[in-house]
Amino acid sequence: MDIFIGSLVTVLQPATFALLALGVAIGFVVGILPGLGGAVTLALLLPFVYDMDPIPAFAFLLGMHAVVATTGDITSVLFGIPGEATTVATILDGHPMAKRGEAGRALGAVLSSSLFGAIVGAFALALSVPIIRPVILQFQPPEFLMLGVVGLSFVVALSGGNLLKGFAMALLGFLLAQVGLDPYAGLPRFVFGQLYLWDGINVVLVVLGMFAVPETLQLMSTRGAIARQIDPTAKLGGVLDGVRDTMKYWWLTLRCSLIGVFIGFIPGMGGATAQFIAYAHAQQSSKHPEEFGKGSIEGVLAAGSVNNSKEGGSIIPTVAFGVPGSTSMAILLGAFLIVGLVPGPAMLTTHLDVTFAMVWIIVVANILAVAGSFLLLRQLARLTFVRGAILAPFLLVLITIGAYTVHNNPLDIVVMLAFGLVGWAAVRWDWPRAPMLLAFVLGDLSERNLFLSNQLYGWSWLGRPLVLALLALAVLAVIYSIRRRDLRSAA
Amino acid sequence: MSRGGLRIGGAVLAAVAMAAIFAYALFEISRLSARSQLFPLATALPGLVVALAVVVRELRQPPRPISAEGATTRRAAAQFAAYFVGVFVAGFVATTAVFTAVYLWREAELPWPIALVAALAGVVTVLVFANTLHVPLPEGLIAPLLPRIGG
Repeated sequence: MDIFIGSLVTVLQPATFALLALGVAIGFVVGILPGLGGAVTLALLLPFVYDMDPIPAFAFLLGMHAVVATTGDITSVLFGIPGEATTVATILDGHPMAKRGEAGRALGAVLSSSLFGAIVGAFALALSVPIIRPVILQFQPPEFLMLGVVGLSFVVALSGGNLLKGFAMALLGFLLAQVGLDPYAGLPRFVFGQLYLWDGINVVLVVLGMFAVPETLQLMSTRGAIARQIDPTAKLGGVLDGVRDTMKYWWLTLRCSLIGVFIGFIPGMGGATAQFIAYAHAQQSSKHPEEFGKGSIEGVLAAGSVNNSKEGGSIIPTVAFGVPGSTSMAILLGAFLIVGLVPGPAMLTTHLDVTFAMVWIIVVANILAVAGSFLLLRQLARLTFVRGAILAPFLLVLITIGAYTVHNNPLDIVVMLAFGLVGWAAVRWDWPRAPMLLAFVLGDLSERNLFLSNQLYGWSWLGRPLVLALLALAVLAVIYSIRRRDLRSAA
Repeated sequence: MSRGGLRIGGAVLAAVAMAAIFAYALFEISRLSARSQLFPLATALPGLVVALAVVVRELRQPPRPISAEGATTRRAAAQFAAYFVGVFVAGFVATTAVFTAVYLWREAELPWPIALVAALAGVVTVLVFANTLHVPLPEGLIAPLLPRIGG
């Protein structure tokens, strides 16, 4: 309990709080701008935490990431344009409410339920610590290796209709993670005679290239206004009515928040999936299911509460097992490595203060974001008029500085641009990028654990019960995804 | 592109490139010791098989329609490339100032005084940020030569 309270005090210290507020401000804008994703922005901000201590670094990054979905709901409601992929379901009932003059009520409901969901998710993360702690301490290198396989199987299996390409990209990610010194013999491999590559490829360069470069190119080629279908006449009264709706339907909001936590916990399920499952649950349990899709306040609350609660859920496997639940969490995993932390048991023992600080960062960031949203609703709507052509030069600046600060070497920019080309080709010809990034992040960890497993147990580790269980889980995840894809195709 | 009845488009070439990467990795792996080959082999071998399967699948699929936005994408790619060539040659600060001003004026169609002020404001912000946090910026090829020319 002392550590829990102490972490709050640390988060509220002026320097850390200032970084948190800065992160929230950036996340605020990113959430509203439809062209910019939370994952891309995390990638852009990653280089800035190099010299920071863990808690200020997470205050900055997680503070930004935790509020992106909250403010992304605003454009979903007002204009029917999702600020984020995870706020798509908010459109279904939020925008019809806006069109019939209840934009304020819809925004009040979606923002307050988002805050509610964020708090539920954060405390689920905190409560899971004592439960997960004894379990995780039983994990040895073979189990961690298999957890990596499980994490990867979820994402690869969820590569949409591109399962084969998803596997190929994941294997490419593993291969790229092997660039550098071989952990067995200490000899360089896949380095093309370049001393620069002996250290391996930095995750920041991969993320910037694969995600930020294609998005920037997209903005540069569209040039026009990001939000094209704008209805600036939407009314903004009745905000408090929406807040009252959240309290009136607290049981629904809580249930949907818990769905978000659960789905966030399962690696690879994704925020959009969580929103639609919660939305479907709300419709199934509603007394007025016929109103869904036409402006049901219950639909708005379901979509709003889930998109933040899943953040707390998705951080659980990232922190406890080093298995990122989403692309954003994979990037956040990179932040762990940058600030010198290794996700896993140490995060629940030695660095428990950092884990609890993350809980408070999510809560405080969302309180700040929702308060800011209520104050600035009308002005915020104007941001959606910002055109890609105006944003592009400033994104180029961020990309360049982000890449160059990795080693202060022009080769950093060259490597980033090379990955940019790969990222662009991946977008152009439908090669899913997330499996590659996750495999890249998990590759080094997996190889090290494979090495340790063989050193400690020979090949007998393959017969360990937990290893077999995790392997079965990975296989089941792949089979489930293939079946789900087939059913979707048939429909 | 058409070769002997086969339609080879960008999608196929991308898959072939992927297969080539794994094939090269297998060639490199052969130089490693037996124990060191374990993980790379477990990655590259299935990678090559999967990539070749994608090549076959892409060859069987009908060619994709050429995007109508090809010209604007090429234009954006050229502007993107021009910016980074500028960074490597003239350095980050000079390139960013010129590129931002011209881009905001020509592409964003802002009045040139506003574009100029926005570009200068952006560069000043970056310089303040870089100096405050001691963040180095790419100098380019020309800047390091200037003292030598002068002295």
